[in-house]
Amino acid sequence: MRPFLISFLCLTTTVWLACRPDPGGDPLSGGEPLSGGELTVFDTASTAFGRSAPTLPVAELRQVNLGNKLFNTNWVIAPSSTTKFDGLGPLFNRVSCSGCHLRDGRGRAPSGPDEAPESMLIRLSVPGEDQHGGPEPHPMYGGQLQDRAIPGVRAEARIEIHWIEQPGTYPDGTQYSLREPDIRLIDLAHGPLGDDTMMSMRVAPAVFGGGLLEAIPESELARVADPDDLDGDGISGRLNRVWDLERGAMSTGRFGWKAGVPTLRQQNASAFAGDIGIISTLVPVTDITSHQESLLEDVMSGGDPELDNHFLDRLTFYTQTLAVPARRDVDDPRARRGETLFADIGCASCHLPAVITGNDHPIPQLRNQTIHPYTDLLLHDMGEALADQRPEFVATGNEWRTPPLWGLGLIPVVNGHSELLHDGRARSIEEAVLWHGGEAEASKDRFTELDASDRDALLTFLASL
Amino acid sequence: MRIHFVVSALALASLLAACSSPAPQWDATDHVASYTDLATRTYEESVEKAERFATAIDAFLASPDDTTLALARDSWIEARLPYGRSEVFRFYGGPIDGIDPATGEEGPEIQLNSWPLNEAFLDYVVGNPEAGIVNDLDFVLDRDTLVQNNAVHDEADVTTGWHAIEFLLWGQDLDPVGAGNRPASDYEPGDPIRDRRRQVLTLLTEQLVEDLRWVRDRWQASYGDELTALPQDEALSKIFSGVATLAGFEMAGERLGAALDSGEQEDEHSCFSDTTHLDFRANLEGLIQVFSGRYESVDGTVTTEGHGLRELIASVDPDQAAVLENLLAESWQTLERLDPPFDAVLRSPPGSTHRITTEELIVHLQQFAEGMVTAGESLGIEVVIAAE
Repeated sequence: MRPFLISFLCLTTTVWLACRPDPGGDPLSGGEPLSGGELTVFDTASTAFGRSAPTLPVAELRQVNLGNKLFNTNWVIAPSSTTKFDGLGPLFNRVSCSGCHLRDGRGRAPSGPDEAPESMLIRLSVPGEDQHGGPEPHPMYGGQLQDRAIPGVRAEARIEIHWIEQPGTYPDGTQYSLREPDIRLIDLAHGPLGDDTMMSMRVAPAVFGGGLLEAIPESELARVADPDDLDGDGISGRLNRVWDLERGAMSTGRFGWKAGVPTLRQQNASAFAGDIGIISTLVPVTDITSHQESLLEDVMSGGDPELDNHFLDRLTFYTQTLAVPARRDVDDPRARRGETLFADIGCASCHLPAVITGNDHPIPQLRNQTIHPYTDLLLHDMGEALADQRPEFVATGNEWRTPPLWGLGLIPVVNGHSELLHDGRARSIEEAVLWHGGEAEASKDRFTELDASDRDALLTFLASL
Repeated sequence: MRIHFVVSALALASLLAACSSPAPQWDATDHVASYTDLATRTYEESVEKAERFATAIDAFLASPDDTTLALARDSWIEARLPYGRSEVFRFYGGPIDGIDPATGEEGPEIQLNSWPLNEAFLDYVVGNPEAGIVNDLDFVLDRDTLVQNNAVHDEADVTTGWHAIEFLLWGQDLDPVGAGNRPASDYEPGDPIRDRRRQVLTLLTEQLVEDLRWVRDRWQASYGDELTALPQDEALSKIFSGVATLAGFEMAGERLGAALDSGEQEDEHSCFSDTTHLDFRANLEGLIQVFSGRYESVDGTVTTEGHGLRELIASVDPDQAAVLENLLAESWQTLERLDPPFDAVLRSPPGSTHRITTEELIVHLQQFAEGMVTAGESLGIEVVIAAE
């Protein structure tokens, strides 16, 4: 991993400290509250993830409002009296975006086999690649499992999550326990999946800040990438290259747990088609395979497209302009200590503390923002324990995209839980750290070797984000 | 790296600018005091009307018939007015929607005023006679459970507040001209489901009154003092931001603009009772009261003259104060021209008088919100139109 904007960081930190009553000595201490640059909002309530860029002109708030409405709209079965919002299914996971991304925040896994999944899904594929090098969908069930269906149509399966506890011990003797999901599919509608089927359980990530991530220059991601670990720090960092539906070409992947999607617009349209069963011009087919076409015989379409183009535009604008909550407790000595440790033990190699957005995003408010997402958007081998063994374009079965850490400490306030990682297995920030393996193994080990007070400081820092 | 350096230099300049705050040319002591007085009075009135509404609910449930139901609905509408006025005190982390630093408790705004709501999550709807928690015998009915289940899996799974109660009193609005018309017989005692509905209505009404009392108590006990104790530019930043956000975001964007843009008839704030036009009116009255500093109770019996934002703005920029006052007046006149119910507006085709008038109202409100930001610049305070 190469040095990252060190000169810039020093400069801004110094300037920032100049305003502060207590400057402190360490250039890394004190941090930066403006996590999203000018798109930072100061809200610590349950609305913290749902606020739009404070820099938007007032006339554009109307677009935000419509986008927000669409995000929350419950799609209904066609035909209906609400013709703009019908066409649900016939197979689906949830009936709205906010169903999974409640209050623009993060989903969670069921706590046990009796609880139905409310904000996660399971991706499916079989060995091989599709025509663009992406995952080859399951011939019968498609690219993901829809566990709900409109009346008269059978859902593909019922998902049961059983948790297996794995006790562990810190070098200082402190005990902990991690849990791993055991996914069981009940009532499979079209028979067994087959032994070669690959499954990946995915919890809905938080939505805010996505526009800023979209606005990071590709050249910056490429500059930070180190695919062959030339600097020998044990950390590679690879860009995903994925199929861009709008351009009809390969693009850099940024969104999704394996960075399998290039833009928010494509992310939104794909989720509409796959998760809600709503087709758009950009993604004109749902996840129904040719073997499932009989399902469509008695089902009415909600139009072609079911999602109006300008609705997709508004929804995308909304997701692009969602702001980032400010960091809290910037001056708390414990958080400051944790921030130093975060850099010292190597977390900041992938969870990059700062980046500047480019100057060419279509939305001017997203340009030239110094942001603190704590991600490099690159793929990293996270070890066998976290692997889903399901490749996605460039990403191998062991690789995951570094998720942003901004807003981490507010998930409990907004979403009422503290579950993390792609499948929600970590019940706390601490458990998420302990799951790190592969390229992150060394940093994880250094974390476990810290004394209890330093571990707590690091977690305090993360919770302040 | 060059670009980073340029940006850094810009950041440096802006940060240094933020460090130095020139001494203001104004004194807002009286204006902040008037504002807190206005807020406290408005919430006092809101509690008073909500308590009266609760009495009407008791009377309705004691003998449910068309007359007692009509009285209960009327007192709901009346209780909404001071609440609608109080929405100008939202959007800056005050008691209604902020976190109380002393207790960590979040204000009850989401509990009080969530909409739209999934009707079938609460009670029966056309096509599903056994829908909702009213019909779900396994759903434990007490206030804690109702509060804890509010918007858990879906923001529209609303189990508490004004609009849940509105749905319980009016039912679905399936009438293209009139409001919903749930029969009083839905509340006839002696049937397990109807008894549950009676219980839900009672519990939600109690919760509503308690939540409003909580906000009123916060204002009475300490928040007014906290606001007064802040540096004046910080207090004004909150006050101005609340005003600008209600006008530019909540009214112009959410309740008027997005409703027009989605093209759905029942996409309106108080859709069951068809009283959305009264919500607009009350919101606008709230803006006018804070701007003018003049409080007048809903029934007109109490009036006080205070120091409004207009006076403060005029002290640094008289022209801007006049522009803003004019925009509020035009907003009011435009709203008066909008014939209720609002769902008729939503149903009207593009190019219709209804829509043109609504678009005019939106523009006035947007200009007013932007004008408040400009006025803030003249005063040297930051005004944020908070889109949430």
